[in-house]
Amino acid sequence: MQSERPDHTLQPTALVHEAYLRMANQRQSAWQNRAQLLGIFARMMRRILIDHANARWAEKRGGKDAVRIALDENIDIPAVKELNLLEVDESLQRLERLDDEQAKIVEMRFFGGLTIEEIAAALAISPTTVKREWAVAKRWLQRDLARAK
Amino acid sequence: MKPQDQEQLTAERWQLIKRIVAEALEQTSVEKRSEFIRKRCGNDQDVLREVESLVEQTTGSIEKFAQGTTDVLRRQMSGLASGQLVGAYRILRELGRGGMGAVYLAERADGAFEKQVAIKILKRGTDTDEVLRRFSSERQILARLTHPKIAALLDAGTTEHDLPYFVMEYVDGKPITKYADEHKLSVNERLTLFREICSAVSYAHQRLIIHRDLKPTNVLVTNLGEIKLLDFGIAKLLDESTPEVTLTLQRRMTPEYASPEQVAGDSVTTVSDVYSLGILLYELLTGCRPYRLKTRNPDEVTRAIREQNPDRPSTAVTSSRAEIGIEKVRRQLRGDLDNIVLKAIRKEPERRYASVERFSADIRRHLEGLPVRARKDTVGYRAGKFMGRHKIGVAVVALIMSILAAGIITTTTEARRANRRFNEVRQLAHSVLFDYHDAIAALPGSTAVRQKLVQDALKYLDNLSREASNDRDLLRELATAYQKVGQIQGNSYYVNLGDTSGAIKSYRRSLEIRESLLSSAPQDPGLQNEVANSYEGIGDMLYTTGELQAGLKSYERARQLREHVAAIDPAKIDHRIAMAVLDEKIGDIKGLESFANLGDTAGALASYQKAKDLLEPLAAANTQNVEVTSQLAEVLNREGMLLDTTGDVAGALAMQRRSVGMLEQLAAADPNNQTYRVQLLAAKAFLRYALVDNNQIAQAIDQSRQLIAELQRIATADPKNSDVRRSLGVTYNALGQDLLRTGDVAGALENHRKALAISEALLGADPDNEQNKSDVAFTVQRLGEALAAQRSYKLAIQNYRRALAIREATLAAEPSNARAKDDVSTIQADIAQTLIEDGDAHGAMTAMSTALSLAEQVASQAPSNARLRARLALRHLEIGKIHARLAQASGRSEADRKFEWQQAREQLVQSAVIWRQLKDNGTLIPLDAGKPDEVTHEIAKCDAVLR
Repeated sequence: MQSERPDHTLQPTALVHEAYLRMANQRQSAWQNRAQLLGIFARMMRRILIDHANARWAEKRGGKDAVRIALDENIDIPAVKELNLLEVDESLQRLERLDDEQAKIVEMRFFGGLTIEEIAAALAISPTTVKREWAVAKRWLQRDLARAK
Repeated sequence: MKPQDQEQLTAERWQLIKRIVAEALEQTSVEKRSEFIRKRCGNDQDVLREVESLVEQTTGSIEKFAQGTTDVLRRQMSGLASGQLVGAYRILRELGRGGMGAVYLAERADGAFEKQVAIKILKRGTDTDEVLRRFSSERQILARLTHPKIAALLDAGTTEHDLPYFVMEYVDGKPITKYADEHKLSVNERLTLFREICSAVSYAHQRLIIHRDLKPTNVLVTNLGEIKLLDFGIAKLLDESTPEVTLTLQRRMTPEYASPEQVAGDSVTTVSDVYSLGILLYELLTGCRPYRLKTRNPDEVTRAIREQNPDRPSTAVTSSRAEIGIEKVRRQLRGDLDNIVLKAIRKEPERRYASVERFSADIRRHLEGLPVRARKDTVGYRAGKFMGRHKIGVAVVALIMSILAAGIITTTTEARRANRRFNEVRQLAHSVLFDYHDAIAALPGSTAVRQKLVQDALKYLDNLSREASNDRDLLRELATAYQKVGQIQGNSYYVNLGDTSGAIKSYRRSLEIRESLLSSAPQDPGLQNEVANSYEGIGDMLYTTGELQAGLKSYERARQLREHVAAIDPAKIDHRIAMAVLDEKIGDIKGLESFANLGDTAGALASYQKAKDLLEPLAAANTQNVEVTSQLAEVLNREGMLLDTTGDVAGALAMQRRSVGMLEQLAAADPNNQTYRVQLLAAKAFLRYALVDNNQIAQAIDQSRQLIAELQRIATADPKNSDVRRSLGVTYNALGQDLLRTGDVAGALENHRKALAISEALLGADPDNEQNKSDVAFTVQRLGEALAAQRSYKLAIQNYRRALAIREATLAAEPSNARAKDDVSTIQADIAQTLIEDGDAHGAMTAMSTALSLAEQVASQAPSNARLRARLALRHLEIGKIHARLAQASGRSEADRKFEWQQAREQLVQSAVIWRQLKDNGTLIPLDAGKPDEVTHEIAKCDAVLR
């Protein structure tokens, strides 16, 4: 057995191709940590939810009162009865026009399930600032929602 | 102020108002607050009004909204990471997710016992306190449930997020239906297996414990063929803590197994388990479930369960069981088995078998050819019952559907809305694929998330493409989606999930779409490039599955297209790198000896040279370009390996040291980059081979130990990454082999066994993957060698035979696979060596002759491969020694002895000639340095006798 060739080794390491594909994207997006990743999810989740709510609305033809938004068997969002997801979204869009960073905090809070600390990490600001922004933003949103009705 | 007025509120003013409101809210009393506001707003009445209105605003429903989404999403997205603690347990990895929650593999954190456990963490929506209260009251009863076929429930508690969890015995097995299909069990074997389940359920029923959720995923069969029932008693803890039946139904991943009384919310008895077992048996025998459900809409499921009359199993048999012959199965099911199954799943509990025992006994009677109790259902009876059923009101159940698979609504009246939605969906899918996916690909541990992302996007695009089949841009996106899914599913050139057959399917779909697009615009370089991507992906997969000729063609087609594209824009570095990548892959498939290859060493070296010719000038001109550097390091590494096989050990070592050096620089410059780390590890692993050939065994062992430590770290961070686990297995084997070389048999056995556990698990997860099969074969062969070294000959032979069966199958599938031929040869040689030690010289001679003839074929095919020549010389030496052994065996005539000595001498001389050639060419590697002398010594022994 002495001279038997050791067998195949690690998988063909042309994993390099992945690095190659990735390189272009890395420059624009240096996603370093989990918080930022969750931030991305928040944006995506918002779109998915809105998309779904729109579909439900279309289905019901104007029945803009979907109380429960089911994503799949794993994700179930119990929306609050008096708040409609589409209206919240529209309101958030108005806030975006007024104050982009504040709206981002709200988005991460609503759709990303992020804690104050994670939002702070993702946006590179202090948790105290996030708390303050959130305190004002939620007041603004609730008032805006009431006025829009 | 109406919403539109707010638009006039300038961002600048808002910043001021925001600050005042925030600070006002931090004031400790109402008085201080009003004073603060008055002071800060001064005379600006607009600002004052705005600030006061906001400060007084209540926020209850917004808070509730945020809490609701946060709670759910947070858990969905984070899951539990490996290493996290739940009670006294440490999470190892996620095993799966279902309607009820997620299940994790875990171990005791304090090491109190070594056995691994499964922890099921329920999602919110269950009343935690109630579940736990119930658990403590049921605990005594569940503790009595000790049965070898029932997975024990060990513990329960709440996580720090207040979610209830259960700790259960961990069972590494497959759902019974899957197990039966994979092992191609006959109808009778299935029935026998099923009766084992019945005996376990019956045991629990005697202790008054009802399962309530029997389904294939709760009935597992281990590799050893042992049945284990999961989740006994858990359903009850849950059902009774949530009043609405609808919730129960919602929680189930597969409501199809629930009995009519369960979906109606009536009392559940042991006969409900009879029903679920009946459904399970139906599926086990026919390959399908009795109710045809178009959606997972609980309303429809409920209706089907309570109203639909299932087809007789004999008519329902699907093609999935066709390998046995569909007609044959039908005949076997018709009559008794039809009646037995249908009796078990009658809608009315009182008309089913009264107990699981009776159900099982009827099956036994059928197996023994005795008349069974079950009789046909009569039409009149059914009709009467049908009328009755409609009167019962069914609770309206919330719609559960996968949003991501939702279709797009396009009615004419909704056209505008639909159009808007269409674009939204498309934008979403696009950003999932092109932004999010690539953004997270570099993060360790992201494989599973990536798969979900891409598959979700794919579902979207699938829906879209149905609606807009002549939208070229959309089709193009769709093809890219398939390509990405294929890559993540199973392309071993990337971090992947190990699903080979799924990957091939995805790549082919991508190619189909792109080819049809290209046919109407044949000069479009972008499309050419994309078609080349598809061909390259397919080539990668064919390489994985061992279809080398087809794989080579696919690569060559891709290379051709890339060359066209590069010619249009010669300054573009990316195109040239892409060409070099293909040259490297073509080289691999032609002759890279450590993998499946076509045995064309010269062709392979030429291809690597082409790649180097492209890359070296690029590297010289762009010293900062990491892509070029890393790709060049890769090619050097390959060339080093191949040089090693031609016997140029010094050249190989130099080449690989250069490669390792380049990669070390890259990894140091970008320490977070997972890819460079893996690439560096691989290069070091290759370097080890050169070390072994140079007879530097101690250094090689050292190298492997370091690699193992590093790989374990990566594997812990990303447990779903099958590549890393595989690499770990490969390295355990390497260490085992080197330890055996130093005489450490126990160490060798230990490491090969670790490797075997990994390779078997990977093969189980992806049985079509040639590489996984090859890994198992390689490992059991090494195990055999270690066993032979400790004189456990019978066990050694068993392991060799297992390896042989796998290698022979590979060779039969692709007869031009030189690597497989070589593998069969070395295993036969191993078998021969062991047989002779065990005293069976004749058996040894047969095996060694096969080994020799195959070694001759392989060596003559690749004349420049010194390694194969050395192996041939070794075979001649070994067969010569067997002849010598036969010459000395007792009870042989003098003439026989002389003949054997002559035969021995002939073989030894042939061996000596080859060794001499190798020495003269300077391609005798240090590891083999002692061989020529050994042969000379053996020839002298022959001469002494023959003289």
